[in-house]
Amino acid sequence: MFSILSSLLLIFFFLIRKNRNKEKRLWVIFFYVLLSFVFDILHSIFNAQRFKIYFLSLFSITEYSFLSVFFLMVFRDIRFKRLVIFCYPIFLFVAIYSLIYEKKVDFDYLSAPIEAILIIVFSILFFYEQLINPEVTFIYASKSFWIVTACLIYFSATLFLFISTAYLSNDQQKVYWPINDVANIIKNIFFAIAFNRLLINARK
Amino acid sequence: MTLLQIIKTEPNMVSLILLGTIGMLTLTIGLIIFIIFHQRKVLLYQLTLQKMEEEQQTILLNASIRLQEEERQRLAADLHDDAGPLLATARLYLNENLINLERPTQLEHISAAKSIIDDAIQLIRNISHSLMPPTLKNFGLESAVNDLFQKINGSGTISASSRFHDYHDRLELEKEQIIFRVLQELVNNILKHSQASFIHVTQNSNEENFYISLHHNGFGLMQTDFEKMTKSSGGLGLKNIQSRLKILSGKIVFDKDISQAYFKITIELPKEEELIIQ
Repeated sequence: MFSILSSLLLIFFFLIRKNRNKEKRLWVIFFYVLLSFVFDILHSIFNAQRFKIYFLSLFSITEYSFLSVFFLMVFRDIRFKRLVIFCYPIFLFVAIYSLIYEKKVDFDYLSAPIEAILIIVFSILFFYEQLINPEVTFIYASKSFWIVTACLIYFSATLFLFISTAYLSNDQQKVYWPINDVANIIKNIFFAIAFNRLLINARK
Repeated sequence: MTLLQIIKTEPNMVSLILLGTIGMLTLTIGLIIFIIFHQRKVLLYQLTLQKMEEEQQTILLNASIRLQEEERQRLAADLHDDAGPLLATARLYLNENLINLERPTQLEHISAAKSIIDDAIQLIRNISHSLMPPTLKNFGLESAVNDLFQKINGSGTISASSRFHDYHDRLELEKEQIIFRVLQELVNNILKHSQASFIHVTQNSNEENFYISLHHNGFGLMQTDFEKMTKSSGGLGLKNIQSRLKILSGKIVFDKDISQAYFKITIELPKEEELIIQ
């Protein structure tokens, strides 16, 4: 509940601070938050077993698509951009495969961890790029830094949860799922910090 | 089902999820903190480097200004102490009373004045040559160096020679002037401080760089001594060499030759480098 509320607050916060967030990559994140909010609402309304796997897989694919677009915009090194483009069809293949052939469990236990691992790798590459060739004088002055930090913390916190969910019963899932909610709230707080920061000119 | 019940039934699963999550979070937070601190460290290091470079620039600029001032004072002294009295004496010979004097005395005075004016011309020519050697302007670096060495050899106390291997086309005059001044300063230092009995200059080049090496058998400097002196308050001539070479984006290295018997100074200049007009 708090997790959904934090997404809603974040959407309002972005719209209030719209003038500070004119960059395309921030709009990508905004739409991603909007999508998460809609999915969370739908998930809580239609939590029927037979739709759950389709629902979660679809969410993973769209979430990964938005974040891939964001990383494509953020990376300056062409090799990293290529890696994002290269990983996208692989992820799509895995997600669709698990949706078609692995319907036994009600959780996308293949695509969710792979998505988490890929986003963690992209985040580390972003930090590496910033260390080698910083976009701004202080890394924490950049909006991208806070967004990537949010993604990294969220997916690091939920990676083991996603890996194990398939082996947990419904009751056990309910006990562990707050990890995802807390991580989601932390992610939204970091997104809010990013949306609140003033735009700074990138270093030439 | 509560967490306690799960711990009792599935202890391994709890360990996996909780420890995995805590471990990943710790790693992530550690990574972020490391990146922030590392970047700050790098920035601080860059700032320190920048500050040091600025200080070095100030030292070089001060040295260059001081040297220019000394040069002006020398010029003023030459003109005031030598050319001034000569011309004043010539004026005395050519005063208004000259027309009232007898013809032989007139001729004597005119001849004396002429001789003094010739001396003044020679003096001004010497001053002018010291400012800009005509050989350098008309015939290039090799001839100017040979000319300089000829004068040094004339003293009989030291033997100076040069060999230009790849000097088929002349460099820009400004570049040659700077190189010649640097060589002059180095030779001057050798003559003053090294007690060397020979100096040999060699010129070479490759596709990218132009090299001049100077060997001598006296007491010399090593690179560390040179760097120390350019950073200290003394060593005006060496600072001047450094600032002149900086204009050409050149480098100077003080060391010993392979045999370790002679001191060697190597000047390296990029061929395509544009002059940095300061």
